[in-house]
Amino acid sequence: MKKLKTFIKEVFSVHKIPFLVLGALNLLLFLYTIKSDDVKHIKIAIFALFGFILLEFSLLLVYHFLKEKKHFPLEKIFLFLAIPLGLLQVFITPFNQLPDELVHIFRTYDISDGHLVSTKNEEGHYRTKISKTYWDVLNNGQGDSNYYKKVAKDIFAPTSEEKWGWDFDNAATYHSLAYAPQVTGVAAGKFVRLPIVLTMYLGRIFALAAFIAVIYFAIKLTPKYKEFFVLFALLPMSLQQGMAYSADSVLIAFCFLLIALAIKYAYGSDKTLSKKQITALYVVTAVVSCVKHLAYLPLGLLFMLIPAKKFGSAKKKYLHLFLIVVLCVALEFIWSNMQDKSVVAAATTEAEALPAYSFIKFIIVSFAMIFGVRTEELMKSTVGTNISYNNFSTPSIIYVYLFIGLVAVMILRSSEKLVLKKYDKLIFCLTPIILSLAFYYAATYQWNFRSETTISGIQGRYYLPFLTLIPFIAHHEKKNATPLKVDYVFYFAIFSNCCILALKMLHNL
Amino acid sequence: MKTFLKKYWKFILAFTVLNFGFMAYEFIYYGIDKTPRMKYVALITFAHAILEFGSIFLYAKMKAKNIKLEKIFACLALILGIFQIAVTPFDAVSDEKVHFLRAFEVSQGHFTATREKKISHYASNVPIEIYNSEYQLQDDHKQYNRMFENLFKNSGETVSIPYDDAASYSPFAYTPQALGLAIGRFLNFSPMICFYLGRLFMLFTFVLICYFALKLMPKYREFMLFVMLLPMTLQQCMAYSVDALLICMSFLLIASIMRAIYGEEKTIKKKLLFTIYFSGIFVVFLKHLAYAPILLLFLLIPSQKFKHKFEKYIHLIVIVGIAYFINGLFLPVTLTKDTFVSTYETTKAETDYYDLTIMSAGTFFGYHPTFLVNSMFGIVLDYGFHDAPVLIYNYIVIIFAIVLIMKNVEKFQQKKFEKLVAWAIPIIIVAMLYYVAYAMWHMFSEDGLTIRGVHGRYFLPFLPIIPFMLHPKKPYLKDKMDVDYVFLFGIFANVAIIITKFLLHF
Repeated sequence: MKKLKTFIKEVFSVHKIPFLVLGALNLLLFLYTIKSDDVKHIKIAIFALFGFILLEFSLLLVYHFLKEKKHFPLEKIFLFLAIPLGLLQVFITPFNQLPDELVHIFRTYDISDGHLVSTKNEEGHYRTKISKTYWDVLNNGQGDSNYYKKVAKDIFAPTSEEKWGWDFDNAATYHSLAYAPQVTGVAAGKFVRLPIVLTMYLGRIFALAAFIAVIYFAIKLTPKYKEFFVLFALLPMSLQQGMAYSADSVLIAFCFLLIALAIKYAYGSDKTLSKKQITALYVVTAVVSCVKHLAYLPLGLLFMLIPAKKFGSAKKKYLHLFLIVVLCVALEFIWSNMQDKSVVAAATTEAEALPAYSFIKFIIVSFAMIFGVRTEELMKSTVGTNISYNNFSTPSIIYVYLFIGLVAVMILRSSEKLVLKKYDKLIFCLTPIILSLAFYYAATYQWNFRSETTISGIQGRYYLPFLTLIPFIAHHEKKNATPLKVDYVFYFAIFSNCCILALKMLHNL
Repeated sequence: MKTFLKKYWKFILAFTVLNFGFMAYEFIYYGIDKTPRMKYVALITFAHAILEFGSIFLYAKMKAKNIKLEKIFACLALILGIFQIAVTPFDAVSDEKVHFLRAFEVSQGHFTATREKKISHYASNVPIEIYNSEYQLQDDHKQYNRMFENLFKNSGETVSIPYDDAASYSPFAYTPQALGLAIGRFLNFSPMICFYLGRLFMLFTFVLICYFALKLMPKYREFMLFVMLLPMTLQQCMAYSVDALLICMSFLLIASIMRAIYGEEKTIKKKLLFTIYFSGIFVVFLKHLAYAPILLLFLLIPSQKFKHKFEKYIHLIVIVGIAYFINGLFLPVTLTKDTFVSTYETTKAETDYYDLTIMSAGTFFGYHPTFLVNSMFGIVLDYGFHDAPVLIYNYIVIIFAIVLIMKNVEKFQQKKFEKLVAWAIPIIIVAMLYYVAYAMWHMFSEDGLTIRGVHGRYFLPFLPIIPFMLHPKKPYLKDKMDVDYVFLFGIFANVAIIITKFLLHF
């Protein structure tokens, strides 16, 4: 007990300023939300508020406790923080309150019923029939409050025999691989006949587990800028999408892994790549490209950074890269051939109905969307202060600015020893540019999210998979820099997550 | 020039792409390709290039001749400021109309605002040409046509327009603008030319005062320069507004006090003390004592620099006393009775301080940071805001400020008390601003979730204190950021805003 007391004293005396500032900030934002949201259950809200303050300080203590242990690397600390914060995201976030979660849930249930490739009904829609109880649970998050009460009630509600059908056209073409973790959870829940609510939570828990596990390996693998991997993986939006019924969960995790592999193979100490390592490149790229119809395949450009000698020769390097691309394209070709073609045909018809953008106009409008008109929206939905659905934006925009400040300071003070050639820099810069243009192209021509002068439909979360490229893009050699303590990364993660979780909870109380 | 370009080509290229990209988008946004204005596209692009690269060229030339920083600033600020004057229509700056009317009254010798009995408002009779040139919130791109039509007209007709919101400000707040208007009238210029002359006088005053502020500032000069070159600073400081004099006087006050604290002189010279008095009095009275906390810096001047231990406190009391006297000197009696006293008494009784704190924090940290940065940088043009594609500057300006502060850490030991005062000033001022918005104006948003009325431009006067708030014990980095980057950033940011504004009204 004495040791614990001394430990607590030490931790809080050294870092009292960030703790006090961020703690006070969160407290003010909690109180503000109680007032502005006109929370009805004040007693529960105050109780929850104390809970969150306690959680913040417990996580800080856990972090410092782990940090002081020998042989306790960053990735393990990440595990200890990501698990509780992710689980809170699972239980605090109402179903159907995340971007497109509804259609992804239906798709997951369809796959868990054994339909790896979804089929259309007579009306021309992808539809799954599920118990009415599911619909009740999904509807709980749509009201303004009382969500948790309703969910607690639903746990013990008998499953309705009545079956309702619901369309999931938007998610029908995604590869079933994208839902593997969620499907496993739902199937397991169904197998042991858990109540419907718990089965749905199990799907999220499995998604979170897979997400954290893959990112754990990514952080472990990357030899450079580990702290950035931790920061981006612990963003409230990353954890939110990581546990959600969404293709983003697998996508974000595997993109982190792909980047980590590329960096390790390019700048790690290995002299040659083993067969296992090369196979890993094939598998990870295949997963990344399958999940969102080749949209993230350009991340494979990063393999160009790997020196030819590590493959054995330049010929071998380019042969492998070529084969990786062929494999990804072939997999996508096979998958799209398994689909009902009329979906694609319908989208094309709509696109044709709009006047076409000239190439130059497309480039200029996309440029203005990223760097101008939609910058704010993108920033908010990257960090996670707006929750897309229900027009619900948490009053925590300050965290967007704290995030930008933190990243800038981390880059500025980083003393990472890494020599990047001009060619390497070019690859690091080109990759996000190509990816961004691909998104805007898709939004313009496939989804038709545009007017004469704007292209909408692109959210900040689409950028999460390759945020880890930022430190490499901004990397420059510095002499005698004093690196920013990694503590601040964890402080930001703890306080930003607790803030957004608490505000989310108060909104739905 | 070659060496300059060789050193900064990446920076110049990146911002050139950004600015010309925005301009191309504006052409698409306003559908210029579908109107007869198409013939001007090449001309506008050319003018944009001339302004941008011409400014860079001029800067590089002055730099090569080893001209002092403050002189280079004066030259660039004048050029960019004149463009701001030219492209900004009358009343396209926050509350410019009411401030213009007050300045117009002052220029005619009416130092105390008088209420017109017929309409029971503080009103001014202004030439009809001014009224006809007022900025109109309509997307017809004919604002410049309207202004040009009235530019040389002088019919002698007048119209009475109320200016209640500006009636309480001291006539001294409008000295430069009123002087410009009076001279213009004396020379028989048309009303609109007089209007522009008022703006020009204000710009000259701003540049002159900032020149001395930069000259005096002993530490973190680059950051002060960065703030002075923000597009919002230049916009406010050429406009009819109390902000104009407040911002430059505040810079002068901060610089002169910092000089007294960190300067090598063992005693404070009379000249410096006079500068502190002069700028301090203005800063305190210009906005009814709201910015008085900046004077707290005075407490940091070492006592040994004065003849007597208590002299410092006496000076402080005298400055505040004079400012308080001037503040009340031309305050309209009716306004004091009707508005101030009653509003103050009512709000004092009604204000819930818990609500005020929580609402302020929620607004400041929760919902409004983007708006505040927007309106501090200059993207929000208040009466003409549209989907301006320059929002990325919001983030660039923050990152640039962070890099500048971290790279250019000055070598001096800062005591805890100095740090405390540096933090206390902005906190007290921001709290006061929110109190005023909450209690006096009752400017809640329609949903009652935020306190409205506080703009980022209100923070400009104390921005140069930021590096002193963040001053570390030891520098984090060894390499310094060249002041060239500050000038280049200032040029690009201002040109981006000037072009955006121009295309909005053209």
